[in-house]
Amino acid sequence: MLLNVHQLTAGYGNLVVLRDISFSMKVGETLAAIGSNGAGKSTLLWALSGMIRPKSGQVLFGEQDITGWDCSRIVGLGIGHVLQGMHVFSSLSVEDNLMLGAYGQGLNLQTLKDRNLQIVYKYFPALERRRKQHAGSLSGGEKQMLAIGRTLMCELKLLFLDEPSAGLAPLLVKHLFEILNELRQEFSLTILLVEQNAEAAFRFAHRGLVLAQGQIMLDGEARSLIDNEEVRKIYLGKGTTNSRA
Amino acid sequence: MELKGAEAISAKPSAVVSLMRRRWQFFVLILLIVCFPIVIRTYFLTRVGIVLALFAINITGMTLLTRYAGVISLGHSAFFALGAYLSAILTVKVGWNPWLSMVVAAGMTVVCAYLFSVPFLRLRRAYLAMATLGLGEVAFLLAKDLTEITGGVSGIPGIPHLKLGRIVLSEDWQLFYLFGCFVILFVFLTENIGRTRLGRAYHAIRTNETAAKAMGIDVQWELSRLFCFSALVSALAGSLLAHFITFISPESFTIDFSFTLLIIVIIGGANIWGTLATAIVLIGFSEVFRGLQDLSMGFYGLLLIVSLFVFPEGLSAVLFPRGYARGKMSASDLEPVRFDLQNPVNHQTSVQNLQPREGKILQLSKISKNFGGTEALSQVSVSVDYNQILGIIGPNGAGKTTLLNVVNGFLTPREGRVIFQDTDVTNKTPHEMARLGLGRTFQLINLFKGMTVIENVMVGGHLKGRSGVLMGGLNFGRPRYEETMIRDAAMRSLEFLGLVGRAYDVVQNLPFGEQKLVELARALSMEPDLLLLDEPGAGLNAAETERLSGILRRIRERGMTIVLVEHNMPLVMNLSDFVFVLDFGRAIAFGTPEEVSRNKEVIRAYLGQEV
Repeated sequence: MLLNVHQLTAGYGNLVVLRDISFSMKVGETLAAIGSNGAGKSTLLWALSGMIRPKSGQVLFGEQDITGWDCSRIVGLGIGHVLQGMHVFSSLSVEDNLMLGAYGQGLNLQTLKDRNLQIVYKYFPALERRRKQHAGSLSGGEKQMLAIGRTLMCELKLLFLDEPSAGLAPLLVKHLFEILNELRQEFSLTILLVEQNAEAAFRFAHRGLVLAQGQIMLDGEARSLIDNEEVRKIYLGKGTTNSRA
Repeated sequence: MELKGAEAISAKPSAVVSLMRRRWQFFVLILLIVCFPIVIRTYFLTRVGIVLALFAINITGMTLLTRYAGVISLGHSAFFALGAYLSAILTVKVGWNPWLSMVVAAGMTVVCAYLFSVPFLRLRRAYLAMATLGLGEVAFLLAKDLTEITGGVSGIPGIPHLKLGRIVLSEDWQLFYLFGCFVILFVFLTENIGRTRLGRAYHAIRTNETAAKAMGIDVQWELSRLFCFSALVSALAGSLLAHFITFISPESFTIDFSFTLLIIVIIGGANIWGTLATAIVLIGFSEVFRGLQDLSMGFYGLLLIVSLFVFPEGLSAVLFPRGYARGKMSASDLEPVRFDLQNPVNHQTSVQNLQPREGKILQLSKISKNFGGTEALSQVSVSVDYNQILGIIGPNGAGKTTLLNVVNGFLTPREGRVIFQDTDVTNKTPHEMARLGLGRTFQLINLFKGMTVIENVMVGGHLKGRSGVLMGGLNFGRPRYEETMIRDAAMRSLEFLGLVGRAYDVVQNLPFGEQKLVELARALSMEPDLLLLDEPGAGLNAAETERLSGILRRIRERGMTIVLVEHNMPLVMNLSDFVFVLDFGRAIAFGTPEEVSRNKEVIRAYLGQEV
């Protein structure tokens, strides 16, 4: 198991958002978490990547106990977190944004430029065309690509994606999932994906989690969750096919 | 649903008890001022009390200016000096009555403050602080070097005491009571301004200027007014000082004075009681240990650093938290109140349902807009009928948000015209557009952080009120009526969106989807004719999206027109009467949802597959 989460409880101040969450992920597996607003999806990612300190429970990365580690240390292990809402450093150039992605691992500069940067540009050619531009001048879709590309700059093993499709045009959503698919095959990347676009998420993932009020309601194979009556009704919209992707 | 806060208290029977309870700080302040000269009999401590009162008067204006509106001024020693010198010159050299000269001095200072505010308030944050720092320094140098008028370093002696009828106010205790009256008056004004419409507007300007403009707040004018008010307060305090010590010289008006004021309001926070408490401790301390005066600035600095670490939001945030303090959350508060529109609240509002009108509400003709070398919009024309829903779709970067910003007045097009309700609004500013009946929500959350949900929504009702700084400060008659009206309208919008249970939560503690709804509630409480929505469906799941389209339909039934930019195809296609498609700043299609979703060009550029 690459990631083992055991009875994780997390929140903000005295507010408890997640209660006793337990699950695990295999190497190369893609897990999609869905749920309504306030169910605790983003909080889960925040707690796992060290943006907030869990209140109790245990997080194991491989054999290593990383519970309560600071975010900057966790990034160093090769765990990337793409935040909700396309966060880029607006006043830096695209290439500088990417270079910052490798900051946590202290890799050799030449290796970075020769290898990691080229990998990112290979998957996201739009970024190479705009490498000298300020990141703030990119369109929404390009910013999202940049945010994802930035995590690829370090030796990435585990990727957390928080609503990558939000605010993207349908064609772009489709394209994005195609790229992610290639990436995970090429690098046997393990992905934990949080999405509102439940159908697209479950088609892309191997396994799915349904969160409600801070707890895991369902945990199962993604394909079987798409056919689940309850999931269809609440998250996929009355059994009609969701055409966002 | 139980309402918490002010409502719950005012519902109790005894008016006096409830007033005491809501305004207990006032009674404490009055008691302190009345008792001080009776208890304290020593010459020295009475003088400390008087100095403290002068600082307290100054601080009322500064609290609003710095902590509410976020305008950092290091130049208030200039207004303090202007008030003192003008008053001194008018009495000593011209021979006017001290009261008259005080009023004239204050009036002239306000005129000066207004003239300065026009260029200064175009600056923000550190730049503004530096500009005002210059102002304070110039005032000090003028006082020192214009020897003919100001007496130079030797100052102006022989300023007469103030008189009440035949009584000359020269005894310290008399002056203390007089100053105390001013303190009470200005604290009263400041508190009222702070807790009502203008206070919310200042907070809105500080936390999110863009959204504040979209709510119809004329940022420049509101800040100017406030700057003048705080200058007036400082000038009056300056005159009082002149008539108290009967001799003024430049050294009372150094930049240290401005720094001290600023440090007090920063430590004190966004509440007049917090800043007053800080002033009492700081000034009291430094006056009592006067022998160590060289150390006082160092002491302030140290205290400032410590306070920034211990309570960055100021002492007030600790003493008087907004909404539910995060630490006080109990399990029952956490029961998620979801926007449940399966059984919508029976919505009987006094909002007049607008009569559906014929014709076009909005016409854009041949709009072009450039950013640097790139053309964001080129020759875009589109129009919307009254009571329609127009969906705008297109790839990321196609210019959809730019188009909304042009309509909204955040951007001026290079060429083309915008006609809104038969008026040419091409060059209007955002707050003017809000006044004309345009509401707006934003792509990324643009809420006023640190305020509760209801306060955020109440900012949307800003234009329902007209009372200014003085009327609002007295809070008698019209402002009270306006406040009730704004609160009711805000409550109705929250009810409409099923957010009443969240009304007293601090807004940034809500999950993303509910924050988007708060933005919608805020726009609705403006009661606009046309609503521009930028991706209202982003971050909502399928069931929530369905509820949102129910809400938007009912908004339309109330007579509003909606233009929405959206990527959520089920939402746009089910809701819109017409869909407008942009690609690389050009219009590539316009038609009913069916027509557009079959359009080859649209499929190629945007959909990727048929919907």
